[in-house]
Amino acid sequence: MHFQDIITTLNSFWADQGCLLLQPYDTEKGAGTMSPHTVLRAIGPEPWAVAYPEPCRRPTDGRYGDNPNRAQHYFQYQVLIKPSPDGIQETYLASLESLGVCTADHDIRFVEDNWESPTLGAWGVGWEVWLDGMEVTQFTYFQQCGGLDCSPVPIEITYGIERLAMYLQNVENIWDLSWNGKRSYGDIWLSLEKGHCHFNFESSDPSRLKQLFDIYEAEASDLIAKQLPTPALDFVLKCSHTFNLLEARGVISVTERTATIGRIRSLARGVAEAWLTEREAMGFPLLNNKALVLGQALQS
Amino acid sequence: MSTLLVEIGTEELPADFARLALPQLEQIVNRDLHGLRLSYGMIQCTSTPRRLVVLVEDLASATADLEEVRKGPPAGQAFKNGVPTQAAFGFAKRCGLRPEDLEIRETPKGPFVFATVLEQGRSAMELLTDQIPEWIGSLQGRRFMRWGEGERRFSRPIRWLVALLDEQIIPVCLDGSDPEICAANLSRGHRLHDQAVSIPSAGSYVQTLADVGVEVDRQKRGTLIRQAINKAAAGLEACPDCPDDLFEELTDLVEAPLLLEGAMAESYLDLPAEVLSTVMRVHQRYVPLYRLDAVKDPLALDAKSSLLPRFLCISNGLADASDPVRRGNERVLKARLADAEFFVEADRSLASIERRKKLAHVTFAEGLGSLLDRVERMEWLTDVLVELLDLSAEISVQVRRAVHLCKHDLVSQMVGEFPELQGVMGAKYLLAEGEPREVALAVLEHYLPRGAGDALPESESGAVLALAERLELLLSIYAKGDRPSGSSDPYALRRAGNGLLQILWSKGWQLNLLALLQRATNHWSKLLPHLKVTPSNLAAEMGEFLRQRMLSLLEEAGTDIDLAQAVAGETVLIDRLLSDPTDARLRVDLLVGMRQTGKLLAVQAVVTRAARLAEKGDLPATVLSAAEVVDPGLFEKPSELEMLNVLNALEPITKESSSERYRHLADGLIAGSEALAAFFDGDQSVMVMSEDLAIRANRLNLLSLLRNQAGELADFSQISG
Repeated sequence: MHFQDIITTLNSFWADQGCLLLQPYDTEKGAGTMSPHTVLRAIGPEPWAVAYPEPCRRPTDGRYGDNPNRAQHYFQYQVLIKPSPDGIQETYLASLESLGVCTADHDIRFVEDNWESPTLGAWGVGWEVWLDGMEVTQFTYFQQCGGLDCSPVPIEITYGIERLAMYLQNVENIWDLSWNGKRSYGDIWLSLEKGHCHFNFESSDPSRLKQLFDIYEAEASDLIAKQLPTPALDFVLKCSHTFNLLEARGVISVTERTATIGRIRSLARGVAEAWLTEREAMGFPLLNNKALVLGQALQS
Repeated sequence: MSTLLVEIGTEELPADFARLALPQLEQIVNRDLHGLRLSYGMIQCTSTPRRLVVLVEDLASATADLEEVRKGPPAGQAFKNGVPTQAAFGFAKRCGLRPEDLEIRETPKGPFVFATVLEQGRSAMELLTDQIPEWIGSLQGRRFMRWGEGERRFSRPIRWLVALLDEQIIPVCLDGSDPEICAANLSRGHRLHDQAVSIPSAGSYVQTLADVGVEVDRQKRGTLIRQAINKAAAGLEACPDCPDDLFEELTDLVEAPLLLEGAMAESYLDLPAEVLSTVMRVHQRYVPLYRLDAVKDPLALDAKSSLLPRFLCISNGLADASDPVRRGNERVLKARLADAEFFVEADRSLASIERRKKLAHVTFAEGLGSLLDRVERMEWLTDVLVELLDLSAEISVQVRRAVHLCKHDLVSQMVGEFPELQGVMGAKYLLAEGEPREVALAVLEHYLPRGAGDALPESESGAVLALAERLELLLSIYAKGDRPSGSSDPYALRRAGNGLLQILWSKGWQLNLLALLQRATNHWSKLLPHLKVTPSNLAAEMGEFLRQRMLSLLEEAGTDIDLAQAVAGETVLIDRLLSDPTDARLRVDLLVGMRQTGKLLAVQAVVTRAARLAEKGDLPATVLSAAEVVDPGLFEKPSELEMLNVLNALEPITKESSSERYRHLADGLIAGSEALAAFFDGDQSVMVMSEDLAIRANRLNLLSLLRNQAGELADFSQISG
């Protein structure tokens, strides 16, 4: 199955489960969780069901394209359903079947892995899903987000698309993956990978990055004060990515790291609270659509 | 007699939850069945990744009727002229009876009203309906969660519940679960047989589950795994590396264990054994296989002479799928090892000495400069240690080279990926680059001990380097103003302090920490002027911190607290303690030995008594010789002369410099204890507080001398009798 077909298949699978199909959010981020479609929608009483692919950037993971298993830019396929439905594990296994993984031929295990995002003030419990010993998916019942208790509880399912694709295509090097049968993953992404590795590790200007961080932080902080949670989130994401770039330059010490993460977390908390206030002021409009969302899920 | 089955069906539980939950469950069920008076034969609690199970055999189907005789008010109050009073009505009502059912019996305190109350037995079904939700609700574990819209908390979502008394469903519902869970006789098999499976009766549960691929008995599953591993390893002429925690985890990760043998390319044995086994055990939960004739050299850069290019994997899949599952696992391992290979190659392309320079770009901690600054401070400390410990020229050369290079691997890719291999990788790279083995070993050992109970550095160079590492951390973090408090000790300073003392003790090194701290705190205040430390205050604080570490280590080792206090407690001058911590340890051991042989009591009795009386005199604690302060001409009883003889015999011992002096002092005190006791008790005893002031002073001086001499060993006033 080609890379792009995996996304199409998952799209169609989760659409059948009643999920909204959305597109990636246009700000750099380290994980699909950080999109407002997850991190904000996980908060508050309104139901939500969404699926989307999301490019992720983790500057320190870059290897100039030399490593067959690692890149500083890659894709996640993200599903968030709130409240978490009964039978979600079985539904997930059915999604693997839809990708052509016959579960009876494999050893699929749910191995405890509790997730915590110190920058988002979020944590949950769940598993990493092992397919014959390979971690292909992260499965998390959110318990807190932006420092707020999640009630009802959302379930987040995050597929590592490259891992799955390498497995399905029996390919041992990420750059050799077939994107559509004509072009490889490397044809599309390798030059970007190399360029960004040079930037992340060598060409970025740490002092300018530090300035940027301060500016983004100030912006986020002002926007929170003005009760504008969604633009504030954009700047929190920029802070977070700038921090990751600083880390890639190795200029963040252990103590500085903790302190900076604390600063981002307090912003994330401010965004979460402002978002909840905004939704509450609107009377949680999606609560009325609850029957509709669940009805769609049941039809499938 | 019935069999009870409760199966709590869940999504996959964390592997360690069973170990926490099963003992709790067994205890609660046991306690409650007793409390309910429901007799039973045997309780078995077991688990798989998807279920917790309670099976109770030979359970009574109901509790017996209970006849109880209760005593009421005195007969005179309950009945007036044969007519029941308010008191009789009240008592009868409380017993669920009418007044005419009461009877009057004689007691030693006169006639009283009695009621015979019959408590009807209740059926097990009825009792268990109330009890089962409480059992489930009372389980405790770490990181419990909520799910869906429910408020119930559990380790993972509860998805089904089977509660059977033989064939009968016990009508139990768990509120707060989303969706609500009510007991039925429907369980679920292994995921690959995932249809609902009907349990015809509690007694046939284990077999019914076995038919759908689940080995319910956790212990049996463990035995199967252990046997399979041992058999496979024997077949491959290998020794499996399956420590208990891995074994337990494997047992709790599968419902139907199936052993698979996997292989890797021989070329991966070019990687260090520690890397291979970390990837296999920690990341993949595989069992590595060591050669029977394995040469385990911690400095070896490859695993060719220790590991086999194979591994064992406990799968949860179907036997038919063994081949694809094995191939899948081999692929994953290969990808991980390829990653590791990439790291080693990248690391080896740069000399360690070059990597050391990169430490300048990594901040150690706020205000303390870079990791390179830290290394340079360690180098300064190493020079001081070499001097104070009077180490040989050979060791000095080794340890100076080792300290120079000791942190280079912190910026290696391998340690970035496997932080637990710090020191290990650094040492291997150094040896491969041609550094002397002793230098590499010192780098490896300088992280030891990593915690309580861990091995200590064996080589002298490793020990010196480990001391420098811990001293640097303590001095710098203290200088920065951070202190461990309560449960918060982010820099693990207590562990560093403990390690420092344990290393000194294990090597038997006499290190003048007092002198070292004085010099180091001065040096630090010059190196880090922005921290504005006062050297003497810093040294004093660190001294007290080390005193506490010493007391805590002694206590953890099971030393009687009073003996530890007598040597290292608050009443002992810190200067004495720090000038030689090993000396303090020797004295504690000596006191422990004296107590074990029953010789401490006699010595302690006389010394304590003497010390208490000596308070009334004014002889300074530093005077150890009787020559100037005791006049035999003033003696009235032979016991005084006897005491003087003991003191005169002890005096030269207190001035000895041999390592045996404390044992000699202790022996002298033990030998003299009878003579000393005669001073206080019996027909030879003297009255210390004599009317004659000269005689009184003379006797007080005798006692003070005894206190002072014994004080060389310990503060006896801290020792309880």
